[in-house]
Amino acid sequence: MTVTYLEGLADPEVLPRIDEVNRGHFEAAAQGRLAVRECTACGLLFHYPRPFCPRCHSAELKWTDLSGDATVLVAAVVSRPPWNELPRAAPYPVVVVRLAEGPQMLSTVEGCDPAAVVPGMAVRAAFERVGDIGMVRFIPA
Amino acid sequence: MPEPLATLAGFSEVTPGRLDRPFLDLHLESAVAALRDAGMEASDVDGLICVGSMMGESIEHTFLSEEIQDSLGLHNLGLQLGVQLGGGSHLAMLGVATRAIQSGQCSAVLCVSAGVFPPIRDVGRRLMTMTCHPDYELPYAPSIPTLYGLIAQSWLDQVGQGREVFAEAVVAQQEWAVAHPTSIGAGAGSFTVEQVLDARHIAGPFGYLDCSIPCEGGGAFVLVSPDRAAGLPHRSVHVVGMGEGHTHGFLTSMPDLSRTGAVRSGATAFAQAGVSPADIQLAQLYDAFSSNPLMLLEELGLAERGKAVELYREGATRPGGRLPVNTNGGLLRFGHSGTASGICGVLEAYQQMTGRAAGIQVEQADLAVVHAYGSMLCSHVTVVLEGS
Ligand SMILES: [Zn+2]
Repeated sequence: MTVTYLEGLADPEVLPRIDEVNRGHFEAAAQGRLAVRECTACGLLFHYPRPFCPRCHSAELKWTDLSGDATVLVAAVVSRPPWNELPRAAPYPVVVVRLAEGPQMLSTVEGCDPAAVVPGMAVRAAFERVGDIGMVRFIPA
Repeated sequence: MPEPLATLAGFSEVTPGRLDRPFLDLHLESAVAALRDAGMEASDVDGLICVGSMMGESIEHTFLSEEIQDSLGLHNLGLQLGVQLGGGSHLAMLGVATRAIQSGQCSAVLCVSAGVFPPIRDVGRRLMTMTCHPDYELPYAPSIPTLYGLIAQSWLDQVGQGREVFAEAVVAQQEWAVAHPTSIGAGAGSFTVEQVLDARHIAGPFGYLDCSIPCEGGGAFVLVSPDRAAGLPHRSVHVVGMGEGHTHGFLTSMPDLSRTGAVRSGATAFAQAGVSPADIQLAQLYDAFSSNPLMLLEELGLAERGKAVELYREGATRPGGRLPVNTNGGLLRFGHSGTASGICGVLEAYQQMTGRAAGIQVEQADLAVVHAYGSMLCSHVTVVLEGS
């Protein structure tokens, strides 16, 4: 499937801070992949990246690419942006999605009427490249 | 009869607003006024707890409890501590003080939190970094109403209701606020559900009137050993139950977006008090947004799931009702004093239970529940109070 790239959404002043724990996730996103941590001890897939597995506390972790398929659990449309300098225009829908492989993630859904983003909606990952890193967002499947 | 664990002896409350007063001075004035209300002197105090740095001016006071201790000349304490649990700090402070009294570590603990909530337009981005994950949530530009909105909307989806049920809480709390002499929102007059629904949209299920009003405020209270209750100038109000419930640190990790740690904290507090949620006559519930009073009434077991709105529609939570909720107007209408916000529920319950309400006095206020939490509905603390 072709990878969809988005642009002009992130605030260049408010980007994720990249470190050794999370670099794999954000570099994969720049290449159009949704990578999360997988615990090699107990098999848990988890997001966001942490130095230890949040179930068994093993530090033996690897990066695993997921399908990018997800379902909206809940959505909230933002009309009043959280800070004045935010470049993107409101309204936009912030969502919590359940990735097909299990983990939960906070993100946005782009490319559709914000009011159409409702629980149960099928979405797929899209990627916004900002410099060397990427952010995972979602579009209607 | 529930067993008293500790006893409230006196209080003070800062009139909420834009006060233009130094942060430390607000604490000192609150502390002195609360001791005076309790009929106590500096030498009577052997414990001091305050709420640690969070935002605004508080950041410059890493050693706030030491500053207060020194300024007030408290030189022989058995306990001195700054606690930090966001909006839950103040009930956590009450919990620590209660346990210190129970264990004999202290006999009289001064608890103080006067604070700041800078105007949102000045602190938007910094405020966000406190309440969501800076790397995995913040870059998507949710606002605080958005994060709360996701939880509130999830609850609405689960119980099959619409945002108009939250408007009922705003309307009811405004009924209390209009009669309260220092409530910030009093001047706006009574609201209708339509008015609340028509206010400009902010995020998710929330319009402007569904959000609390940032201000400065707070106050102090003094907690003493129950065996000192007989000598107090006011009716004794005892702490009879406490509970906590902590389920997550960030919204992303909430196991179920429509359920909170209030289930655990409430059950624990009621069990310790030996009372049923149905016995409660007065509730002060931390209401940063209009969704909270309904959600928390249900999470605490004062209403069945999806049924809290009926308490509002039948008038139970309004002046004259059988279960008054947020009787000073709550954070929504009295004012949300940021670093001090969580103390307001305790202070209002105490005023009601000693017959000293500044606004409308509740007739039957012998058994009350006070509930607050920190961050994104993360750190829940429930306290049950009994007057005798
Ligand atoms: Zn594991």
